[in-house]
Amino acid sequence: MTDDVGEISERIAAFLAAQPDAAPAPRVDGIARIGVGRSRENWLFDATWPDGTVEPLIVRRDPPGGLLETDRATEFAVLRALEATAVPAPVARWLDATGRHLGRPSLVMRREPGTCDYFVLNGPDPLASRVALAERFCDLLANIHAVDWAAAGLGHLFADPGPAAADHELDRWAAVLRQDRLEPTPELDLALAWLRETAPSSSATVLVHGDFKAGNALLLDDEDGPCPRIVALLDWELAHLGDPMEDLGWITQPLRTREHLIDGAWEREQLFARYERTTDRAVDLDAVRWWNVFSSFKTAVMQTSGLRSFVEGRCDEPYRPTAPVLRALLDAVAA
Amino acid sequence: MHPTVDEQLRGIGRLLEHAATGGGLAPASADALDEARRRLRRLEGSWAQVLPFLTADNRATAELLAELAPLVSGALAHEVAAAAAHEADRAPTPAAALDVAAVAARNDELRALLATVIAALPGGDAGRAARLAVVAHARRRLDADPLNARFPRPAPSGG
Repeated sequence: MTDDVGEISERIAAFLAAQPDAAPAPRVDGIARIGVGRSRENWLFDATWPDGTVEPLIVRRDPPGGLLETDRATEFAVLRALEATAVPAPVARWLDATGRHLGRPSLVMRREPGTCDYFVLNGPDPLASRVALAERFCDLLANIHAVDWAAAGLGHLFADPGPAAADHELDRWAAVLRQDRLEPTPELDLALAWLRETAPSSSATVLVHGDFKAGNALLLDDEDGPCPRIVALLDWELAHLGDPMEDLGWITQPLRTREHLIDGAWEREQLFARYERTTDRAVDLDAVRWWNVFSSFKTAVMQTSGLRSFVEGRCDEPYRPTAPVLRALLDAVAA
Repeated sequence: MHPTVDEQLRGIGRLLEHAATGGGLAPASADALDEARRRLRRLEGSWAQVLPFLTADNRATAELLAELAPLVSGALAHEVAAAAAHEADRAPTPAAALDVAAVAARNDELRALLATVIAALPGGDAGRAARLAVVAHARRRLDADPLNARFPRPAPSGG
């Protein structure tokens, strides 16, 4: 680990020195790797310029392998596009798209204060505070879906799939499955056939986050408010244009209710009612159920990619499609 | 023949436990050691079940393929019927029956064929019944898969 720190520290210093808008070259202090984020390496550091200005920064670097292989240049462009919107997201500073400087493709973002907690909605805070935070998460999702993606330039980055958003995402993840699987997976083929036969049409095209969850939100205590403040939403690597029901399906998938819902106080009904009030868009319950199943399929495909990474020695976690995820898919086919 | 695989795995576990309780480990090393102990325990509890699991799954998959063969047509129907019959008639030598790599390779062949059949299933009631049969088979497989069994975590390292 010490060698890793020394190496990345030198690489970051050299990378910043090569950025015209960072001149004169800052000093790199306090570098440390943080464990959150299973798909990317996150390195924290402070850049200190000769005039004493200090900027807290974070490098988000591709690991050798893992659950996801996504493009840092795309994520960087999304973050840049979001700067002109009401969506709180990290400020993107510099990009090493090829990894020529930092060893692997990376982006450098401004580091915001706060902490991430996957299960904050079911943590020790009072119920009223947790419900208020759940409402804020819902409103944040509504804000993302309200982004004028064409005006923000995201139409140049992503294809607009129109009503065929579900088929578009299925094609995308089926291609990943074909590319990464090491062995036959008839369970996933069965689920894929079911998903293709039952894919809904999308009634609108919005910016979809693709991995919306409390674990990707930086929270800061707010003594004047009813609950913590959401400082920034992180991990935009799966963002794309698509069906607003997709994010709703992701956050209401039965296997992850503890992250998104609160028994008896913030159930699907409350979430959908608030989303409808905020967005003036009807929630299509059948479509959400389809996206629930799709979410399990997408998870299984990511786990399949993780398995390949493990077998090829690019990550240490022995991923494989888990029994609960496969059971959820089989239940959908049998329903 | 001693030491058996189980005995050797337990011996490796003891070595790791000594290292874990010896102290002085950096937090990252202690975490890695705990993870290695957890995975070793999982392996101890599952490796011996892999061959019987695969052998039983090959038989069950072949039976399912025999059931589905009439629903597909052409060359695929012949291929499916032949694979199912081959599995039913086959009396592997004792050595082949204990060759886990060969049994696993056969499992891959049969599952690949099942995936092909799934893509070729017709619609309607017959297709629906066939899909439900595949679901039932897959659920039984998940229940029996030794790698899905849960094992307790070892006590954390003190390092």
